[in-house]
Amino acid sequence: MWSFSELLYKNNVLFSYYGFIDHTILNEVLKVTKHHLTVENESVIVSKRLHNAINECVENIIKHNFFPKEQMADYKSLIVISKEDGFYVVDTINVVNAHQKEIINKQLNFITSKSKDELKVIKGEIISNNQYSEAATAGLGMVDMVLRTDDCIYGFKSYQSNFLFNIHFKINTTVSYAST
Amino acid sequence: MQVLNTKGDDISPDIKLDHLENIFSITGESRPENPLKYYQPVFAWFNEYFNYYYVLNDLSDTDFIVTKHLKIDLDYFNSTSAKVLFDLFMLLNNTGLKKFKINFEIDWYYHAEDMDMLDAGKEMERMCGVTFNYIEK
Repeated sequence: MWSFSELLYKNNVLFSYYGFIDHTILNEVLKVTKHHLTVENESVIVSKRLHNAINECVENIIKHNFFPKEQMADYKSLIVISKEDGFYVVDTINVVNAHQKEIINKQLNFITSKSKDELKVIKGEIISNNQYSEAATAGLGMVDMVLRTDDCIYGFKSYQSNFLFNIHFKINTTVSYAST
Repeated sequence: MQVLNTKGDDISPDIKLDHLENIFSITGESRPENPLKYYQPVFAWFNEYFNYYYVLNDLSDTDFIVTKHLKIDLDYFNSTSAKVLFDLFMLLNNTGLKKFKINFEIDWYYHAEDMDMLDAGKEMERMCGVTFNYIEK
């Protein structure tokens, strides 16, 4: 327990959550984060960017919950929000299956290879697509998340018969008025 | 024709579409679990309103275009809500203006420090062809 506490202190962790994630938990995560940012007197634009990034990231986790209903409580994820050297840092880990890994990997490979200007165009194309379906809007949240954050890094590790998916990104606290 | 008055919560916006008082507004935070379902009554309401107003005011024999304002004052909207809002603005443009001569302008509210919200409005305006008025709060 000491080593865990030390890890949290040393990494200046503002908030962490480990467990089942659904929309109720997402709301609580956003409320707690908002409270932290208010106490820290954080700027409106940085607070909103962090709010957006956490929302899109966690909605993505919820969307990929493939556990059957009776085992939903076993679908455990980790969210860690910390602060370091002028950045808020968000790390999440959740379980995905092989099919989801393939899709996420393909989407993120594509998205992270693009510049911010290219991502703006892609976002516009998805939004203005005439169709409204999961397939038509696939990746919109991730595009938005990568567009408004920095240093997005992601990876997968084998976990039992599935995979742990980790995504890490930062929000700059100093370039407050940079246009996205 | 009924007024649409939907009370929102932490994740869903307040919606007021009142043809009697000329109040058309969507305010609050928009990240409902199912945005399409949440906004469906808004699409239905506008479709009914266009017909109602067009017939009531006999706009068929005139070139006169009526201008009205839809207030969008959102603290935050997620990416899926952005898609739904885009579709709504396209409805206002393609059906409201081009078919029924009712021109809805968007009054887009944004916090003075929130340049992302201002940019989002400008991007929507560029994509939809609807006139946006930017109102700092």
